[in-house]
Amino acid sequence: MSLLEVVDLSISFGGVQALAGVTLSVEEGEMVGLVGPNGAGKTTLFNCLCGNVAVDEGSVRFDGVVMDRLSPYQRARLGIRRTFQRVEVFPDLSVEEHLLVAERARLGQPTLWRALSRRGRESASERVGIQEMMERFGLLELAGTPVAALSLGQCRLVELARALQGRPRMLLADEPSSGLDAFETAELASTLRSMCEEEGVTLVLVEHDLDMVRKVVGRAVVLDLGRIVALGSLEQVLADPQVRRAYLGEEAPAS
Amino acid sequence: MGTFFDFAFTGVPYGCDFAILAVGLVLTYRATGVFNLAFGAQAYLSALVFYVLVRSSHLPVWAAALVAILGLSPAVGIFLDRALFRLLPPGATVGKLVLSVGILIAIPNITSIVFGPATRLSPPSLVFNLNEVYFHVGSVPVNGLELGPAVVTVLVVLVLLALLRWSSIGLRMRAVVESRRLAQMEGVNASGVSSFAWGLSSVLAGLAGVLLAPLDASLHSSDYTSLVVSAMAVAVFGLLRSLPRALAGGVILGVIQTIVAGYLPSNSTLSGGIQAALPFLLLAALLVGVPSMRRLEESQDPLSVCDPPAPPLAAAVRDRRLERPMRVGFWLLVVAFLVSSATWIPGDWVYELGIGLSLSVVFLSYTLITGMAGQISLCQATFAGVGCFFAGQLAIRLGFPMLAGIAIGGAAAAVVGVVVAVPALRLGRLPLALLTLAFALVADNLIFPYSWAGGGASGLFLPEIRVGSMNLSNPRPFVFLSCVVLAICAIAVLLVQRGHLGRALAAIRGSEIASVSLGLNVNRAKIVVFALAAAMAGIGGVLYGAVQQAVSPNDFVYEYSLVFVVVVITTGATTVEGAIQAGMAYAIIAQVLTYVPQRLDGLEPILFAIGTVTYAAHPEGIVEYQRRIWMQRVGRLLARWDQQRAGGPGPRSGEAPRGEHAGQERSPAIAPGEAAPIILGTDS
Ligand SMILES: Nc1ncnc2c1ncn2[C@@H]1O[C@H](COP(=O)(O)OP(=O)(O)OP(=O)(O)O)[C@@H](O)[C@H]1O
Ligand SMILES: [Mg+2]
Repeated sequence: MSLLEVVDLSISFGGVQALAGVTLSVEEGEMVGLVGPNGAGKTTLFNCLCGNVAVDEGSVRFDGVVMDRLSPYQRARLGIRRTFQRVEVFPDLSVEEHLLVAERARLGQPTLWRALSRRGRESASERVGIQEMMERFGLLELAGTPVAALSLGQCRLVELARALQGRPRMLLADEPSSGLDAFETAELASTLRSMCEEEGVTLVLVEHDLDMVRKVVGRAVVLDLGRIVALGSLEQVLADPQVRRAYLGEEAPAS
Repeated sequence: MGTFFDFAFTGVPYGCDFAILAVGLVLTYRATGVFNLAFGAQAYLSALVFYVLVRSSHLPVWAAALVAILGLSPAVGIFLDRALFRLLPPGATVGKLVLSVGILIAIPNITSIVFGPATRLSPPSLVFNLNEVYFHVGSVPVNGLELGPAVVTVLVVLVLLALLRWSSIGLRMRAVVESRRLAQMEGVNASGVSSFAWGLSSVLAGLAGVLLAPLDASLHSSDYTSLVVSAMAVAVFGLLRSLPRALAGGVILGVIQTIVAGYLPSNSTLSGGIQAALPFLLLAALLVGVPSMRRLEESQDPLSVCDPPAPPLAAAVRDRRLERPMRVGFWLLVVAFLVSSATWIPGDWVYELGIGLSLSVVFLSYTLITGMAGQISLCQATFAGVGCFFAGQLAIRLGFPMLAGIAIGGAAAAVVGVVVAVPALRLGRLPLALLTLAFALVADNLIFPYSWAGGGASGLFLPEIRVGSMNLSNPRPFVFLSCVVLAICAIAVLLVQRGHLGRALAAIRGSEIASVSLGLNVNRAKIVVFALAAAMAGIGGVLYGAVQQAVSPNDFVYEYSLVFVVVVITTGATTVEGAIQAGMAYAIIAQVLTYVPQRLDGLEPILFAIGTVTYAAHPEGIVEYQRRIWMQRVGRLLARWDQQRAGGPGPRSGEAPRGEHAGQERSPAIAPGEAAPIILGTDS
């Protein structure tokens, strides 16, 4: 059985059909690239998986659990973490505290008393994991900096580290390379790949930079106007005439 | 059936007034993003000036109307826009809200100083003779009182619709509503447009104020401040967009209100309460029930993502050497305070200090709600009332000791806090503030007036707090008691702030959607902090009642909640010290002002209302800001001293590592959400 099974998912915003019957399954440990032109519905698909928007039709299972009625935080507790296309960080918290919040949230909901009485600093055992994660993303020197003072590229790294600190089973990354330069992107690609491989995290990567996609994923799904237009290895998919048309417009000569 | 139509017709003029105000609210909100709570106060100002000009200066009605409605009103509106609201950064929801509350409080107090607090009977009518019957609908006579507002309102709405649809300023206004900055880039003078919107809506406020005045026997500012809440209900009914819907909503609300009042038994607490509370109940229901109202402020400018994030507050850098003197100084101050209040300070001052300490406990609730959760609540005085009345009734009816009542009152308020928090969970900041305001007004009208709650008109007389043979309700021992309670509450707040929940709330405040994506249960955190805050308010309320002993519902009306917000925000809502300073400042200034002439009664709220203006510059509060500045100065002095002692320009070790606006030095952020170009190997 696949880890993620999306069946016939549809959602529309007013007149815009953002997703029209998307059916997709992702195996455990797989790395999938989700590509498509602007407005294809990639971010919307992530929002549906995480429960941030209510779908019109269709159903999503994660590890055999039907998630349709779960609230976003309950879905997160099943082991889904994501990053955001428009970075979502906590401006008042430092980098270290971001990871601490994620670490604590991973361990589930504390009792009311414990939530009130527990210290806001990390314990020694928590610190080890957090330091290691910061090191992997090169954030160690920034540990105590409030995130509001970081650049966009650094914020993206914080988001990724925060998501991975939750030890997810599946990571949904939405354009992690935007805001990074070519060198940083290449580095991010290798970090992401090795982290996910080591920890056995299933990755769904939305990315416009196809070089990065090529380095990370094993399989690609192409979305256009809310529909899946092609599936398969990246090279195979990019050769598909329908995909080229989606990217280049109708007039493009079919190769 | 005669009576039914009679009731209905008496409701029409009220409804029309609601509608005009609502239209004005919608105009400023859409054009400038300010949901102007001070609108009712502006209406009152015009009504008052109109009254004074007609009744005292004997000006003809048309001339008075010209001055009050077309002259003064827009001038005030444009002044508020240019001098105050424009200084706030775009998207400063809390700042705008607090500022408008400050103005709402300041205007009636200023007018009572300028014009004196006299009762003003039988306000004049703007159009038509009040009691002359112009025609009949069926058998129901329609007099000038009812006809005037209806005719004026319909005219106003028609003119506005035409203006917005066909005039060029209307078009520009619609562009600014969509995106202020985009419009500016296209060459639209957005500040001119927003001044126009403020001026226009203020004319509407003035008009509504003058029209409303004759409906009551005399002119009262408090009728007007709560009027704006009714107008809000109507504006929300019109989805903050549609003028015709707002008009219809206003009339329907006015009519329903009088019909309900007409059919309920007169002179019962219930019928009067329901009539008054109806708009607030409606507002609460609409806010909770209509999905698009839940996140009012999030209709953001599409270009707002281009802004770099706000510069972080420089950390309160303090030299380590300062820590010990500070701690010693703090304890010396506490001891000096306790000793002095036990010995030489005069009795009336000690009493007022006791009140200040009780209020400090109430103000701690803002440290939780505003400082930690980033929300503004406008019903903390109501929670204080719940605590006070609950403990008081238990003590009076069942003989519970008042000392235990302090804890019991807190618990009761916490329970009510949960009841308010649950429907408020999904609301954004502005709707939450409005919902809490509606709740405060419902409690004022529908709950507190009962004898089983606030003791009715005569109020309650609370028993003394006794421990053995000691009477702790006497001012001097009370100061000790309230210091102990305050210390316990302050420590509790500090622990929560620095603990796990504080971190989680800081995360939620920063980004709710990201917190949820990590698996945080945002709802629970919000309910917990709301309940804790209500408990603080409740505990403070019991203390506040215990020192006064005679309490009535008037001690906890919504106006106090508004004043409290303004006071705490001015001194500092993010820290425990800020709350304590707010309580003490409030009490001390009140006591000092007993020495100034009676006429200057409203000076204190005015002072604090002026303080809200500083919120834009330093949201952490005046006192907190000053303290930070001083710490930096002393730190710098110490550093220089070090240097000189070491001889020669060594490394300036004591220098603040991060300047005031360290965040601004960084390069502007690339717009998040800007997609990287598609890099597709087209020739593969
Ligand atoms: N909350 C919303 N309200 C209205 N329309 C929406 C909303 N969210 C997405 N849409 C629309 O749905 C469509 C898909 O948007 P989505 O953000 O999923 O695209 P995307 O594939 O992520 O594009 P991009 O590469 O630009 O990020 C777009 O037409 C968008 O305008
Ligand atoms: Mg997207």
